[in-house]
Amino acid sequence: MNPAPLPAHYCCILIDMIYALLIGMVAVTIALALMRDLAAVAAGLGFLSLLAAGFFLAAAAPDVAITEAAVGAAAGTAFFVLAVGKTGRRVKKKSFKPLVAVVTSSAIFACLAFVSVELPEFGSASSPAASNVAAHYVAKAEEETGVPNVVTAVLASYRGFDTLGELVVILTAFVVVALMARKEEA
Amino acid sequence: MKEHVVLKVVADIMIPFIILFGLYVLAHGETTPGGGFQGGVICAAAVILHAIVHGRKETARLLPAGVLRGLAFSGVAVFLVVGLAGMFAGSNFLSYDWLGQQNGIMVVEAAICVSVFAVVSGIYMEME
Repeated sequence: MNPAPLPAHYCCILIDMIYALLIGMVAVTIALALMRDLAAVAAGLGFLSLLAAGFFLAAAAPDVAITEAAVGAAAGTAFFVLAVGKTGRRVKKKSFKPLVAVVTSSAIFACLAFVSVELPEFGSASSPAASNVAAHYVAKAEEETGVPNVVTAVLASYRGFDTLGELVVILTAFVVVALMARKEEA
Repeated sequence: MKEHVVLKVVADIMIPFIILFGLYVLAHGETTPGGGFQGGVICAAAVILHAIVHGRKETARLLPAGVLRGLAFSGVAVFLVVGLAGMFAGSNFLSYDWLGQQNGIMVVEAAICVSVFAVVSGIYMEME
């Protein structure tokens, strides 16, 4: 199953889209930091997730994009709205320290910007992530597992142990939420 | 949300299609983007939509908390049993040699889907 080669201008459009979505995410995040109404922040976080899903799609990771859209934009927003409904939608003035927040996030941004120069180029075949077992997966996944989608083959078969661990993690989250809800009943 | 007739009617029309899409994402995960996790979360989104529009009591009547808890654990249990069966068949943990790679992946993806569906909708239902 070889997909048809992409037209030459398609790649540039995708990269423009990635930049637009990333700039949009930064703008939404700054707007969220300035908001005082937590219900609006919950809705805005859903929109941020939707932009992130678009970014993953443009970066050729549709599996992650579906997950982000369903978990971040749909389920996560519902959880936040529910939590805000239980705890009140106004921020206490005292708890907000803008100077600390600005200094901390600027410092983290400076560190990340400094390190990002060393990152391998986007989609580079010689990056550490692509140079070990990835080539084997891409070449042999369909032959060895009978599944054409390499992501599914890796998640369910090659890295099944990690997926089992993930499943146990979310099950633990469920158990904790159920136990906390039960404590309130008693 | 007693008076929102339009919301209820539109949600009732959408919910079966959301579940159908979730099952498609699960079943077609071998060839197109998606798989058990994504399919499970999409199905859970349908339950959350039902709970938002009709109220959690009505949803809990159709889908009791005990059922969701059972499903959440049974998904992980199926995954574990499939993995351990590989060991008892004389191979490695989670090698699907005894079942065939493709069948093993399908069973495991279905187990992931059930578990993720129950966990995500269950967290919403339990957060009372």
